[in-house]
Amino acid sequence: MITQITGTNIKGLTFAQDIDQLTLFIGPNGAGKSARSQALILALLGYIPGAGKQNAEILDNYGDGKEMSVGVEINGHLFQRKYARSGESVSQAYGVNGKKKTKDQFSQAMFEVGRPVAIDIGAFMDLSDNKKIDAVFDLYPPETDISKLVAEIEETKTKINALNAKARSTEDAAARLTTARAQIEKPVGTLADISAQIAETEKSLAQARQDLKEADEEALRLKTVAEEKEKADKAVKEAEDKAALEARRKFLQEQAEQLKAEDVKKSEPAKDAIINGPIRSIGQGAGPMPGEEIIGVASCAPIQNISKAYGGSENHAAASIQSILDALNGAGCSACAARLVAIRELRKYQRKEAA
Amino acid sequence: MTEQSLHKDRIEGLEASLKGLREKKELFLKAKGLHEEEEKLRAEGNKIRTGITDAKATLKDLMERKNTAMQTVTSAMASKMNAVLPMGSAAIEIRDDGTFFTGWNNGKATIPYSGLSGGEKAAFDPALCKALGGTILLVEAAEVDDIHLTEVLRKYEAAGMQVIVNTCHAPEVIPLAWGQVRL
Repeated sequence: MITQITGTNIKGLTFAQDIDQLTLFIGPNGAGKSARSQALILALLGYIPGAGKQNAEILDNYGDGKEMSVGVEINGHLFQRKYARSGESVSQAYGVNGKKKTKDQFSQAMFEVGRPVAIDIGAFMDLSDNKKIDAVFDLYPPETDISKLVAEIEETKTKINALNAKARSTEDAAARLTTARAQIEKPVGTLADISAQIAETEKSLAQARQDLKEADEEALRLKTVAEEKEKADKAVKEAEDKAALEARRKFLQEQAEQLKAEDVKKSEPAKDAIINGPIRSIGQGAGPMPGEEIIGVASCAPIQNISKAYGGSENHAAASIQSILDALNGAGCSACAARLVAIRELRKYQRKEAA
Repeated sequence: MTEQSLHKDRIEGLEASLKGLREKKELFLKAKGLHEEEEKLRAEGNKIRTGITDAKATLKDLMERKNTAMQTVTSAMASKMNAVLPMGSAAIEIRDDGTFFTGWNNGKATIPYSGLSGGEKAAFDPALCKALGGTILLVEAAEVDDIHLTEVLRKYEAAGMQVIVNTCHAPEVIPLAWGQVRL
């Protein structure tokens, strides 16, 4: 308990005021009531709330500008603060029971004797809300961990905000999809209808492809058949041609033998010319058209030889050519070179005869 | 026109038809895909909304726990103040927005600290000082009238603190526990 308040040169007053547990100062304005209270506060806190905390401010506002001291007696121990100006600066000295102390020693000593706690209400009210709450929690510790609860609350709020943002984003995306879907010009019918049509068309297409394949195969088959037939026909024709040629060769050989036999009777010298030459040629079978060559040989040189051999017997030569022509016609030779040559030679004789 | 060309024409026609049908199907599938995606998003949105509802319930619970804890604190503080206040009751609140509210409910209304008159502050400050752990009260009671000053003095007796009250005029009744210093 504080039992005495002292002041020197504070607000122009100097006092050593004893006080009780409950003290009522009664007096007119300027009597020194507030000076005593302020001296007490200054001695305890080291400043007077609302009046600045600098030594110079304190001395200028409450002292005479040069020197001032305040003190309190707490449980029989006197604690004093002295303010003194030295040039431009103002210093503060601490004393306990008349002995000079440092600031820390002063505070420690005051704490040890049961320092009264004076609250600066103004300073408290000037604190931020958080600091006020902290101060209150120091004095009235909550049963639960408020800071943890606050952290959880903030975390939950953050989570809610994030979820709200996500929900909005999701809903916006869904709305965009709705719009996009509405903008699609869907054809008449249903997906099932279209799928069925596709299946049907695919089936038809497969069938059409199969039909085409079969048609291609048929065409190929027909082509092959035609080619084979053509080949066979060609072979038949070649065989027939060969047979005809053989027949002509035989016929010519017979004719030649017949002529030879007839001519042998008439002229011996012409024998070789008529028979041997053509026969050898036939026997050799040279050239692409052996028959024609044979005819050529037989129808040119031999016929001239025949004419000479018979000593200008033109009529006999013409008869021989005519018989060859008949043989050719008989063999089915209608446009061969041998026949043409024979006809040409025959016409020569006929023209001569006519002339 | 050969049979093959007839088949080819038929195939071309069918292929064109198939292409058209497939394009139509694509549209259907696209619409279907969008619809499915949309449904998926809406389901996700609903899930998120459920999550929000749950989180809000959790938040409410946390807030209630916090308020209860805060109320315990503020009630204890107000209770200490009420022991010193000459009348009415202290209103101490730690609000959800983090505001620390200090006021005096005089029975008619709750007046915030900043709205208290000089006389009211003269009575309220010591109560607050007591609640904040002060052991000595300094009261400038110039603005407290005689009748209330007596009440204030009586209240301070019960505060269990050392109290110094300054006044210009002595009340008619000064409780016996008080020492008087006339200056």
